[in-house]
Amino acid sequence: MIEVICNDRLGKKIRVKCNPDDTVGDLKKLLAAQATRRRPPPTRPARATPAPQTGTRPEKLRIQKWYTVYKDHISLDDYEIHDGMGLELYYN
Amino acid sequence: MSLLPTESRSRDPVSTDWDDIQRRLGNLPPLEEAASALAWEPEEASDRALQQRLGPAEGGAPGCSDDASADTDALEQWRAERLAQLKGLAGGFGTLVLITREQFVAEVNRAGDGVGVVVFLHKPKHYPSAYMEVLLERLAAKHRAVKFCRIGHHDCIPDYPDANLPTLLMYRDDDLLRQCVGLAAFGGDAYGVDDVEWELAEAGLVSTDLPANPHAQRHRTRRSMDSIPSMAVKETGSEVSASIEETNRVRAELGLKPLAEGKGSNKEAEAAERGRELAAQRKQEAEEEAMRAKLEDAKRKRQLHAKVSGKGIGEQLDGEEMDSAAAWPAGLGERYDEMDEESQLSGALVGHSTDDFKAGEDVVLTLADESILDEKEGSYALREGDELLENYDEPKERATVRLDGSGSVDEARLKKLAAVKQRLAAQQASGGKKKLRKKSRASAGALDLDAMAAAEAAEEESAEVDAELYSALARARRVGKMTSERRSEDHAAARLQAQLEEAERWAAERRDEGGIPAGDDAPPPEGSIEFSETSEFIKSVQAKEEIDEAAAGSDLPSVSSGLAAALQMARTRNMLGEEKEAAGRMFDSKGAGLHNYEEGSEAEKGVQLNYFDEYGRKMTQKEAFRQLSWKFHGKGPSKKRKEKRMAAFEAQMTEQKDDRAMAYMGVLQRAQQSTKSAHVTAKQRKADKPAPKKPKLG
Repeated sequence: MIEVICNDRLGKKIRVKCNPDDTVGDLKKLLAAQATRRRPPPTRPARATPAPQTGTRPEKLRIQKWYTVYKDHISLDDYEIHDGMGLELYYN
Repeated sequence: MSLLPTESRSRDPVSTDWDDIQRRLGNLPPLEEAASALAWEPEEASDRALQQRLGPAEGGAPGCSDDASADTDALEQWRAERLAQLKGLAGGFGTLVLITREQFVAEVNRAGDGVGVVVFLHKPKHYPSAYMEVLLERLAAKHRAVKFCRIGHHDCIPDYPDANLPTLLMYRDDDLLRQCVGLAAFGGDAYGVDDVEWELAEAGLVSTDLPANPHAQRHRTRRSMDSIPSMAVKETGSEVSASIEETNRVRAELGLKPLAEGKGSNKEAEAAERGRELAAQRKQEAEEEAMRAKLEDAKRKRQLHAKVSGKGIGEQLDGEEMDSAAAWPAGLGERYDEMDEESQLSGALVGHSTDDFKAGEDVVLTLADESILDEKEGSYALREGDELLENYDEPKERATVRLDGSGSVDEARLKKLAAVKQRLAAQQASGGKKKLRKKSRASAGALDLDAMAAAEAAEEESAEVDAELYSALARARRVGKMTSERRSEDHAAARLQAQLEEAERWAAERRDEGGIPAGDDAPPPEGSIEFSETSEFIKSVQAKEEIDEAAAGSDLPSVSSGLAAALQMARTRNMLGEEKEAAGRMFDSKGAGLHNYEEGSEAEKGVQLNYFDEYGRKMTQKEAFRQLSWKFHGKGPSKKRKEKRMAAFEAQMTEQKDDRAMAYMGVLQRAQQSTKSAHVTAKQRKADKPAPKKPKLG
């Protein structure tokens, strides 16, 4: 089990726990799940909240390391992504 | 009624005089006389109680009693009508009611038990709000049991974003059941009353006849977001992280394996492991090979030793089994007999001729089947004491005899064969070809004993000729090649040997007959030549000495054969011409001797291009090019230039002819003669006149 930190440089820093033999696509799914913020439904007084969830879809995410864009079908192990490594998160 | 919000009118239908007049005239539609239809008007409180009891039962559907009395039916009907009236009179239900913030709690949270309240947040002059209002009014009229209220959006929630309008909040018994925020909740822009009704039904406030959610398919974004499982994350500072359990749960949802132990796969370690395994395997194999080789070696040695069994000579001597080494050959015959002769020696090649040993001797034969020495062809390594050129000598021929099947040799037969061959060769050389041909064919082909006997007879006839031949051969041997061991001539020696034996036999006979003491002093019989090893050896030595003397005279090392010898001979007789030494880079100029350069020839000087002008003068390169350019371009020099050139040429000509220097010399000479002095003073103009003597002034 390794922990990878994805930094979005816009204030989002997400630590994801995953297996080394997971693919980058799986990592993106986990990222999307962790990055999505869901607010619980509001109680009274009726402070009706705005849209309940701000999240990103995995298809929209792009993981990079400098100018190397990581492809979805290759495992983290093959990319030599080790524990504690920081990756850059961009959006398509 | 106009669509303008006329709350007061809906509650208390008060009519003005003007309106009455208009109604009388027929300009305005008549008032609904619901209130005046019935005689009695119940109290408010009891009305409310009744309404509450009836409760959410919408439309006030009267519970039909099974009492089939007409009176009760009519009563019931009347009661139902009255209830409906009440509902309409009661207000707050059946229509959209405006409330304020202060009234919110009272109206909404304390609307009554089981009363569903729909709060609509609206904004004036906002189209979606107005649209929703219209729909709600219709729904309010339809679902009279539900209280529909509306409140200004800022009133309810300060700074409420416009994007969230229209918003519906649904309450019951002080619980917020549902909230529908924004157009998206109703299915986007083009939503209708059905959508709103559906939402109300979803909350449980109303019952609807709609089979399915009208705006279900419009919520596409919602579904994709739903595919992303929700995760409980902790936010520490700026970092968002989740626990292992939460991660595992989500992984299961996504269809991934749960988190595994350990950090990273050990691919490198695995590869190293495999490498080590392979190396160990190879090492083991090498060891096995070595073992096998050792075993085979030992086996081979054992086999060899088995062959070479028994004691060696030295051991035997030490063990005192033998007296001396000389006794060893004596036992050879026995040992030889022990071995299986036939199998081992049949067809073997013996490196001797049969004449090398006499009958009755025990000789150790040398087998010449294979070479003993490990001589590789073309070996360039110089061994000490050996000359490389020995490798290129012709192989020394040895007289060999092949053993037949039984490992023995029929000497007589072989001898006859050899003699016949020699005879044929000699006769061919001397020239009796025709005679020999038949014989050769016959004898060579058939090898009959009869033919050989005939040949032998012929041989004896020309014994004298043979003697001459022999002497000539001996001479040649003496002078010529003493180093080579050509045994082919020994065929003559074979004959000599035969003669020698004859002579010995004769001597023996004489001894036997005459009883003359046999001694070495006995003079040899007439007509016979005595040969012995010693005499031959001495003669060969003498011959060698002669050659050495001849060679010692010259300074040069005596070369006996080859190109060097030929050259030496030629040089001594001045047959070779002048030899130029090819030293240095002579080749470069002379062209490796391919051309013959005579002295001063054009070939030696090289190519020279000389151009002459119209006057016949040799032109320099510059002038030559100038002339060439004139011809090429078709333009010559200008007139002036031509004149200049002409003038220059004439000046040159006159210069050549008019040699002023020589003229001066002539004048000088004459002056010298006249003045009888070597010098000439410059003032003197006329040389032939002697200068007038000036009187010397005191």
